[in-house]
Amino acid sequence: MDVKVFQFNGCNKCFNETVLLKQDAKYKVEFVSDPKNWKGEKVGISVITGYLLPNDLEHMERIKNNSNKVIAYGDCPATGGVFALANQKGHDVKPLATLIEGSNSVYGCLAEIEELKLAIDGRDVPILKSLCQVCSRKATCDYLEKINRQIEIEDSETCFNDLGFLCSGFIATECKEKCIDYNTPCRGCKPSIDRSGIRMLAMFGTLAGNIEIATEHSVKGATDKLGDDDDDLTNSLPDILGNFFRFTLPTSSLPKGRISSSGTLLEDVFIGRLIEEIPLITGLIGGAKSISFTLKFIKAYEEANQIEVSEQTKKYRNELLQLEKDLQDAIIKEDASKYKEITNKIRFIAGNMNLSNVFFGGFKSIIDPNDDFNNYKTHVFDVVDGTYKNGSIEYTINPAGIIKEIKINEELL
Amino acid sequence: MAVKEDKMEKSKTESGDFEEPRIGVFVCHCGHNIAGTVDVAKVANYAKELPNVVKAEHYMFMCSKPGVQMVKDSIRELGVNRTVVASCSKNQHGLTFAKAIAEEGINKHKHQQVNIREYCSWVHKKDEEKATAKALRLVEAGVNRARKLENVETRRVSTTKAALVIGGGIAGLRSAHDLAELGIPVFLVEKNSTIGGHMTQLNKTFPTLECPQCSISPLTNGVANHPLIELYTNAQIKSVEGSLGNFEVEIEIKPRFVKDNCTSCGECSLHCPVEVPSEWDKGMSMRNAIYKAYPQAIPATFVRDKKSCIECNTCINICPVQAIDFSMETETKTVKVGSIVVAVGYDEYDPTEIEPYHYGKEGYEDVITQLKLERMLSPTSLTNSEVLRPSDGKLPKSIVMIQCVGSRNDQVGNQYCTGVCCKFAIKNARIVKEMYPDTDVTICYIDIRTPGLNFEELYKSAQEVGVRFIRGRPSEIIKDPINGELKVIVEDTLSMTPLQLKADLVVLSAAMVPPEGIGPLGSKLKVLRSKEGFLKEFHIKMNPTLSSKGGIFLAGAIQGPKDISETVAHAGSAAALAAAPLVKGYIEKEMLVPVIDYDLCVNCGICKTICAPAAIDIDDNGRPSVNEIACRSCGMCMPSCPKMAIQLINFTEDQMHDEIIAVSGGGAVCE
Amino acid sequence: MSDCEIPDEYVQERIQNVVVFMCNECGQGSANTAGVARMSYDAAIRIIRVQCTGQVGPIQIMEALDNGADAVACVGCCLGACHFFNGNVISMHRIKLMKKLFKELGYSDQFVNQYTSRAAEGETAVGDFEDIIDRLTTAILDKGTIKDGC
Repeated sequence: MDVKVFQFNGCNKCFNETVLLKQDAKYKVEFVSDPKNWKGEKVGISVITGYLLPNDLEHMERIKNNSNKVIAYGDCPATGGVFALANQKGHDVKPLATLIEGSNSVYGCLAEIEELKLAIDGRDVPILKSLCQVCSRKATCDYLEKINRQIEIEDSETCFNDLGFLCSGFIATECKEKCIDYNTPCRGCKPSIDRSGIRMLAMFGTLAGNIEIATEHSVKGATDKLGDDDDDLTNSLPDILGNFFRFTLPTSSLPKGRISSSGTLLEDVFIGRLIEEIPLITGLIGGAKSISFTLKFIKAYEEANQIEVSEQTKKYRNELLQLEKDLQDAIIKEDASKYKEITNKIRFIAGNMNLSNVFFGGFKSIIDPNDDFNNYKTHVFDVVDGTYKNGSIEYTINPAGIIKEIKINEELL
Repeated sequence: MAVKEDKMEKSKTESGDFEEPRIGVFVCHCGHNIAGTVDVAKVANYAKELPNVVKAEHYMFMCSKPGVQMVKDSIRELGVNRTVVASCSKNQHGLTFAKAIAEEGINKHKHQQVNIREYCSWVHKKDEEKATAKALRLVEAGVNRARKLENVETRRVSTTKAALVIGGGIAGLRSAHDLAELGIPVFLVEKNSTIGGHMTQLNKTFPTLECPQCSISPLTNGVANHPLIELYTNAQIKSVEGSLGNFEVEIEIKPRFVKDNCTSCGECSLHCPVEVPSEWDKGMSMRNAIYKAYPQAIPATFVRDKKSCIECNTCINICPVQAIDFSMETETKTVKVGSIVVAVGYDEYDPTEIEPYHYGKEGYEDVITQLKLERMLSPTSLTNSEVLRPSDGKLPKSIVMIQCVGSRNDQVGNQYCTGVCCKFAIKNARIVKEMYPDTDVTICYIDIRTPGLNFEELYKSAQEVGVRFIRGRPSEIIKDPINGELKVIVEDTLSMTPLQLKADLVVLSAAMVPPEGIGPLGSKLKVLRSKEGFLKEFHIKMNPTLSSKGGIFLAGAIQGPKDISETVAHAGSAAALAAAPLVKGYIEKEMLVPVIDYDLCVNCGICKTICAPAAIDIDDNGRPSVNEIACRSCGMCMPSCPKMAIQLINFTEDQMHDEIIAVSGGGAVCE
Repeated sequence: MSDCEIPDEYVQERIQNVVVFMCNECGQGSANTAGVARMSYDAAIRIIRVQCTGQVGPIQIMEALDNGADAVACVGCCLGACHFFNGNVISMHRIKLMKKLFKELGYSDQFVNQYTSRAAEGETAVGDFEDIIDRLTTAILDKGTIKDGC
C-alpha cells in the first residue's frame, strides 16, 4: 500500500511515530515534511499530521485531489489539538474536516499507530471501552466539597473526581498513553462523544453543586439571581479552557477567542494556562524536544522556589535527556526499530510519550518496582508568583498560578 | 429563518415501528385576545409549509366544542397523529386537547401546546409586527417538538393497603389513629419503651393549662387497643426498600425481657436493688433496672435495662406470673406497606455548648432546662411537685428564665426561632409564681412572641401575677466566689442598665432541634433534609406534610418546630395524604421517565447523586436503573451525564435541539 | 469593538432574539401571570418551557447561541424553593462556569444568566426580562457577544 505522511505545523510527535509503519512490509511509506513544496503526484493513502491553518487550504486540496483516501492522524488535524488553544487569542487553527470533505480521523495525542494501521487498511476500529472501565480507580460521583488543583498521591483506588481533582475520563476512550496510570487526570484527548468539553463542563457544574457560588439581588425583578462576583467555584477553576478544551477547542461549538495575542502562536498556547498543568502541556507539544523543553520549564521554577530535587530524580532526568538525543538520532535516520526501542525506554521512566510522569520535584508514580518511591515522589507545591527564566525560556505567573507572559526563544518545533 | 428539509422525517412509535409524522396545526384567535395583535392567518399559512404538516388552520375559539371537534376530525379524516394548538397556556387548555386526541386513539402526550397568548399577544400589544414574527418562531418550535414526540404510557400500580408510622408521640399517634379509622392497617414503630413522646413529659399544656396525660390518654389507649394498629415499642427501622405504594420495611425490635402476660403489678421493680436516674423524668427521679417509665405508660408491660441490670434474678423469682425472661432476643420483622408517615419528633437542645451558661458543669446543678422544670412540677416527681434547687433541695427565692437558648443565634445552636419557647416559659413562669408568690420570677427575653388566640391573654396574666420581664440576652451565668450564689449577667436594653440578677434557680428555654438518629433514618428513607437538619417538606406552602420522596409523609415537629395543636393538624394532613393511594387501591403515574442507553453509560454514578427523589439505583457493578414510580420527571439527570446516556422521554437532547433552533431563529451564526 | 458612540436605538434594533428557559413551576408560572396581567416586555424574549432549570445544560445554551440567539437565560424557582430540591442551584453552577468560560475567551459574560421568579408575581418575570435586555446591551457595548465580530 502506497502511503505518504504529510506533516503540516506543530511538534512532529505523531509524524515521528509514523516511522513505525516501516516495520510492516505491506506499507510503502514516504515522509513529506514540507507539504507546501510537495509536487503533487498520485497517492494511495495520505496521512495528515500536525495542525492546519487557513492558508494550508490550497496544499490540503492538492493532497486531497491526488489521494484515494485522506486520514487525519492525531488530534491536531482531527479536532484541532493542543495548538488550537491559541484560538483563544484569535488564531484560527482548523481541523481537517473543515477544510476538505471525506476524511477519516484517528484521535489521540499521541494517537495510536495501531489505530492508524486499521484506518489505512480500511478496517473498522473495534468497539473500545470507555477510559473509566480500564481505570484502576472507582468513582462514586458524590457532590464535591472542594476542587483541588493538586493532590498528594495517596492511593490508587479513589477516583480523581471524588478527590476534587477533576478528570475528564468520563468522555474518553481507552487509550495507550493512559495518563491516569501516572497520577495524571485525563484531559480528554480521545473523546468518545461530540462536544466533549461542554459535556464535561456540565458534569462538573453538577458535581460542584455544593460549592458556594455568588448570588446577587436582581433589583428589577426583586428576586435573587446568579451573581457575577468571583466565588469559590470560579476561583478553583482558573483555566476552564485549558483543562476542558485542551484538545477540542475548534470542534467544541465555542466561538473563536478575542484575547489579544502575544505575538506567536506557540506562546499564545501557553498564556492563560496553569503552572501545575505545564509539564503535561509541554510534554504534549514538545515532540522530539519535549523532554528538554519540559525539564527547562520545571527547573526554572524548582530552582527559584527551592523545591528539593533528589539525586535519584536527577539521575532519571539525565537518562531521559540522553534518550532524547538518541531519539532525535533515530528519527533523522528513519530507523523504526531503534525508534521503538528508545520510545519504550522513555515510556519506562516518563510513563508515556506525553511525559505524564514528569513533574515538579520528581515523578508522580513509581518507575522501577524495586525503587523506594519516597526517593523521588512529587508533592503538592506552593504556587508562587514571579518571573522564571531558564536559558531560552522565560515565563511569568501571577499569584493564582496563571501564566501571564512567556518567551520561548528557541527553535523548538 | 427556517431550515427547510424536504425529506419526510420518520419517527419511532412505542412499538418500535416507524410511523410517518402527520402534524395538525391549529392557531386560535381567542376572539381579539390573540388575533388583535398576532396575524393568525399568517401564522397558519406559515405552519402549512413546514415539513410533515398535513393540516394548518386558524379558528375563533379552539377550546369551544367545534374547535375541539376540528382537532378530532383531522385525526379521523387526515390521519393526523400529532397535534399542535397555538393558543393559551398549557396549564389552561393543554389538557383539553390532550384528552380530545386521546378520545380519538392518539396517545395524549402527542399533543404540543404552544402559548401565543400569555407569552405573546397579551404582552406585546404595541408591537404587532414583532409579536407575529415571534409567534411564527414559537409555532415552528412547537411543530418541531411535535414531530418527534413519543407515546408515554400511564401506568396503574396497585398499592399495598397498609401504612407504617414511625414514632409514637402525639404526631404518630394522631396519624396512626386517623389512618386506622379509614380502615387501613397500621404498623406503629416507637424506639422507646412507651408511646406518648414528649407530650407526656409535660406538666401542663398552654394556653388552657390542662394536664397532657389526661388529654392524650384517650388517644394512647385508643391506639393501643385499635384492632387495625400493630404497636412495636423498643423498635427501630432497619431498612426501607421500594417506592410510593409499595414499600418493604425491616423493623428491628429490641427485647423487653418481659413477656406480654405482665400484669404491671410492679413487684419486680419494688425489689430490684439497682437504682439509676430516670431518663424519662430528666433525672428528677430514680428508676430501677427493671421498670415502667411512668405510671400511666402504655404499653403497661415492664422493661428491663440490660446495661444497669446486675442479673441477681430477684425479679425473675418474684414475678407472680413468670413474665420475666432474660433470654429474649432481638427480633426482625418485615412488613409491606403502601405509605410511610415519619413522626419522630424533636429533641430538646442541649445547652452544654453554650459555655458561659455552664449547663451540666459541676457546681452548676441549679442551671436546668424547661423540660426538667416540667418534670419537677409534675405530680409524680421526686420533689412532690415542689420547685426545689437540685443542689441542696431548698426552695429558690429567685428564679431566672433565659429565652432563646440555642435559637436565634449565629454563633452556637441555630438561627431559627423555635416559636414555642416564649409560650411555654410564660406558662411555667405563671404556674411557679402562683405556687410561690414570694419567689421572684424573671424572664430574660429578646422578643416575646405569643401569637394566636389566647396567648396574648396568657402573657398578660403572667405579668399580672408579678412575673418580671427583662429585655436582654444574658451574656453569662457566674458564681459568686464568696457565697457560691448564681448570678445572671444581663443588660436591660430597654432602660440600658447592666444588671446582675441573683438566681437561686436558672431555667433555660432550650430550642427544639432535630432528634438524634435522624441522619441515619433520613438516609434509609432516602428523603432530603433541610439545612437545619429537619426533614424537608415537598413545598413549604402548598405541601408541608409530603417529604421529598413520594409515599413518605411528614407529621409533626420532624418537619420543623411546632406546638401540639399545630402538630395534631399537621399529622392529620399527613394521614389524609398517606391514605389516599391506599384507599383508592392504586396510583396512576405517567411514565415520563428517563431511558438509559447502556452502550453509552460509563457507570460513573452521577445520575444517582443528582436525583433528588432517589429514583435511580446503582447495582454492585455500577449499572444504574430507574425506579419509574419514584421518578418525578425533572430531567436533572440529563445534563449531568457526560455521555448523554440518560434521556428523559419527550425531552431528549435531540428534541430540545429542534425546539431551540426554531426559537433562536435558525441558521448558524459563525462558521 | 469600535470606539465610537453606539446609539441606543442601534443596540435595541440589534437585539432580536433572546431565548429564556423557564421551569415548569415558578418560571413559566410567573410568565403566565405577567401575561394575564397584560404586562409588557421586549418582543425579543422567547420562552422555552422545561421541566426544571436543572434540565438545561451548557449544550442547550450553546445550541441557542450558535443558532441565532443574542442571549440566553434560565428562570427558575427561588433559592430554597425548587420543587425538585436543588435544580435551580445546580443550573446556577453550570451557568457560572459558562460565564467564566466566555470571559476567558475575551467575551462579555453578561449574555448568559440565571434568574429566579415567583409564580404568583408577574413583575418578577418582567423584571427579570428587563434585566436580561439591560445586561445584553451592556455585553454588546462592552466586550461583545458571540454574534458580534464574526
